[in-house]
Amino acid sequence: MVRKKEAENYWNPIVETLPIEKMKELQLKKFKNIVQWAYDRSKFHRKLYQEAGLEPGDIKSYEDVARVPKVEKAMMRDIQRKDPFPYGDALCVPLEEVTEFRQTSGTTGTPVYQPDTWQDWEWWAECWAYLLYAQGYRSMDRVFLPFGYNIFVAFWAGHYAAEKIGCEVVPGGVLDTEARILKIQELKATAMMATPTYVLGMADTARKKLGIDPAKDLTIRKITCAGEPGASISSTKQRMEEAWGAKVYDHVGATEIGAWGFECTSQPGGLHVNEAFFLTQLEDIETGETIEEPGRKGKIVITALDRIAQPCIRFDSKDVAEWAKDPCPCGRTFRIIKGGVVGRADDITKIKGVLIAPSAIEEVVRSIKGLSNEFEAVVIKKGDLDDITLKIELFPDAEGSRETILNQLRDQLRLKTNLGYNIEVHPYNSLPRYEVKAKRFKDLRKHG
Amino acid sequence: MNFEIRICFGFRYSIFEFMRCEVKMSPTKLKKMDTRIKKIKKAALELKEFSGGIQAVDQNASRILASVKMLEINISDILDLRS
Repeated sequence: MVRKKEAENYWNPIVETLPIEKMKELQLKKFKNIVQWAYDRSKFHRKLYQEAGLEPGDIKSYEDVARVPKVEKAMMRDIQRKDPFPYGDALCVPLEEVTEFRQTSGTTGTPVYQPDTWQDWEWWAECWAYLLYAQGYRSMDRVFLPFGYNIFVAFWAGHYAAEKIGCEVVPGGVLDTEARILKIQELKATAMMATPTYVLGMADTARKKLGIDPAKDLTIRKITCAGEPGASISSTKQRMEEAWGAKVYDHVGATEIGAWGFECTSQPGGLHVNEAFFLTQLEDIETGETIEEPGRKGKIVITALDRIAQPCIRFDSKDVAEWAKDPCPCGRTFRIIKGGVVGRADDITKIKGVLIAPSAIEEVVRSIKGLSNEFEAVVIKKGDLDDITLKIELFPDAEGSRETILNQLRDQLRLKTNLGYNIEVHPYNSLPRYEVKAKRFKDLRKHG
Repeated sequence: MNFEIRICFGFRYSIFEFMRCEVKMSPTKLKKMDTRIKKIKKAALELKEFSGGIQAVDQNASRILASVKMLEINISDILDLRS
């Protein structure tokens, strides 16, 4: 019985505890298949590989994977909006087999379109089922989705996966924030999925506008976050967990890739990579060398092993991460990226000669009691020098401790980011509020 | 379900080593599951073949096949491993 109970901790106990050598064998077999699939069906992939002098049959070992050319988002933009419209030459199935359209948010440029077949959509939900089950979702959960169901994939697959697990799903689509909170209260929902920004914003609205304390008056006990790194930033995670009296779990994914990483209930200080579905490699940002050892940061290059309509093969995600040293107490053999995605290769920038990831600023701001959840960092050029301003808000009841808080903020920023900032205190509730992907770091140097 | 917990060797880690285990299932049961998966797949493909173009049959059979693929990913693909 104990053994069976152990197995019940996993969505698929066989796959999730597969020893690393078997996992690599599985990944290599699937990698060869998906490269062959794309080579046979997509002009884009065939040209890419032929120009690199590579035939699918050349991939014989795990090490050969790194020989396959990478795909970048810009390459997808170039081939799209052409026939077969609107996906172009990377489409590997007849148009009539495409059942789903999604697009990227366009944060970094023109949105990329993503076609999926029904099998791909089942696959999306399966990826999410692994992560939700690992986060403790079970058939007795009533899951509320405060999410504007739209062309962005966001929590769509979370919805389908929760259904697959057997949860009862409440779609909170067009309701406003107050109506969503009241619905959660009325239905005694037990779990929720949202961006960290919205999780904090909802708690704020509940307290200020409805007189509801989410931790005491609502029954949400687990929250799955996506879209921003907040749930892997310890101070932001703590704020969310305290505000809701719930466990907060992170997950990472992308429209072009799939839901590839998740935190489990052991909260090991990082995210498991779903290695049965994704072949994930870390590459040195400058040399491109594959990083296998823990403690060295690299760029994530990732392959979705079973996605067929528009394959994602060696996609340069620009996400930066490092492998963790220790395995997870949960027993999953899926490797862990320490602290989640620590930044984007695009976002990590030098200010006054210091390399900084915007998440480091968030970590400091959210760790100081008395500061509201909102902030904005703006970098400009003053003559030849970089100048960084941090706009913050104080909670109204913290005005009395203003100087102490600001001194603490300056000290922590200096300590954690090695930079001096111009601090601007703005009236409470005056900085922009976001529901989806927040844009709190603005580097205006490139625009003069 | 007759699961068995097997401690995996070959990892270098200390205390966590004891918690790192492979949940194994008897190969016979895996094989049985794989056989059933193949039967469902065959039946769904046959349905499409015999449907005479009835969309209600074709499209629902396609959905069954998408689910079958997830079963293959979860069971059949693992069974094929050599090591």
